[in-house]
Amino acid sequence: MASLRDIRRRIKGVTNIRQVTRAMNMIAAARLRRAQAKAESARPYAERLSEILKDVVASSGGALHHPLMAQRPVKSVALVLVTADRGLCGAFNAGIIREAQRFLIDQTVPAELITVGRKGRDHFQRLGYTISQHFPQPSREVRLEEIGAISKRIISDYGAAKYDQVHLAYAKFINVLKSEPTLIQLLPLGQGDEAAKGAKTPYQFEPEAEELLNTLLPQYVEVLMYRALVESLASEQAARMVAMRAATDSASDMISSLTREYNSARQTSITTALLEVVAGADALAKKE
Amino acid sequence: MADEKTFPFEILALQKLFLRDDVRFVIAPGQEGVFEILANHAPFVFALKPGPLRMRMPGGQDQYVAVGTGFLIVQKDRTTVLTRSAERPEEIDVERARRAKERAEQRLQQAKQDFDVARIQASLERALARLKVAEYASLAS
Repeated sequence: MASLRDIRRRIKGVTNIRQVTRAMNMIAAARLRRAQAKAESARPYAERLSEILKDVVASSGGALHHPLMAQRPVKSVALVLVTADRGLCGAFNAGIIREAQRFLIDQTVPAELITVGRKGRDHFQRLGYTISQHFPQPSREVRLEEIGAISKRIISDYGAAKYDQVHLAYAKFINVLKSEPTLIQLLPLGQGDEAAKGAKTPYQFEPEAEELLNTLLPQYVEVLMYRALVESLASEQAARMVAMRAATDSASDMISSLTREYNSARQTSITTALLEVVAGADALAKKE
Repeated sequence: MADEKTFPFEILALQKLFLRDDVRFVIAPGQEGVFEILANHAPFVFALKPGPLRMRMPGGQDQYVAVGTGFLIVQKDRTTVLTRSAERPEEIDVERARRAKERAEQRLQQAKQDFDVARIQASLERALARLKVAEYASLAS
């Protein structure tokens, strides 16, 4: 049986842990609110841009050509993996990494990894994969320059035919309790979109549609990237919040069972001490 | 006056819905030159470059916004600007923009590679857009 002092020490330790997890829970909750607002306010822009892209493509009757839309024979692919820099957020990183690993195993052509966020990089480095590019997770504000750097890099590598397809893996935010590992094809853009032919409005373009794509497509890539990053951020904070709440709850459970153990140990020691006193008194009484 | 007719207008920045309001006209910095949009414009998509965007509000006063690279889309029921970034005059740090402009001009003279030139030019355009918006706004008020 653990001594009284040991139990007291453990109770104190667990209480400290609970304090930390509770603080982390509250911080994650506050950040989640902001990240969620960000993810939601990015939606109208992204939706409108993809709408325009469809219209531009449809109005040209599929006659448009642009390097970012060109289907090349696939000789190598790249996967952009968005994870967090930090852990202590439940199965958040593990879930998205599992999805990425499945994707990499399924590839029949050489696949390169581009990681955003440390956890993904660390995991695949341990497994012996080469990471061809790494970016730290963007700050919580998710500034434009941070996205610009990533998406420009991808576009220029793709343009230089370093790889023929680029996929993007990130955790899509569904709600606080749920995020969904998502894999989308980032480049080349636009296949499948042609299905939405017969544009509703006959737009005119300035400059000409083909040239317009030069501005539109890189921005579209940037938006997809931005969305992936903010969705991932919201998912991460939600996962951390839930994980820390669970940790706080189990710490509380532990504290109450330790307290019970402490009380019964104390009771036992009091009883023992009492018995000793009584036995001693008895012995003395008998002597006389 | 035909000029007084308004139409719904919105500016969507990458990170947020920046503005949604009725306006009488919009003068925007197109890639192929500055253009003006009035009510009942035909459906159109313009590419924008960084620059000052001017709107006349229903009350007759003008507002300026520094927009980044993006698009202006005229649809039947509304007109939308999609841009990487949008800033009101009061959000602009004039001193910083001026420094950015000087730095870009200096680098432009030294730069050799085309890639660098394009990037520096872009940052120069952004700085100029901010300065212009700040200047116009101070003149207007």
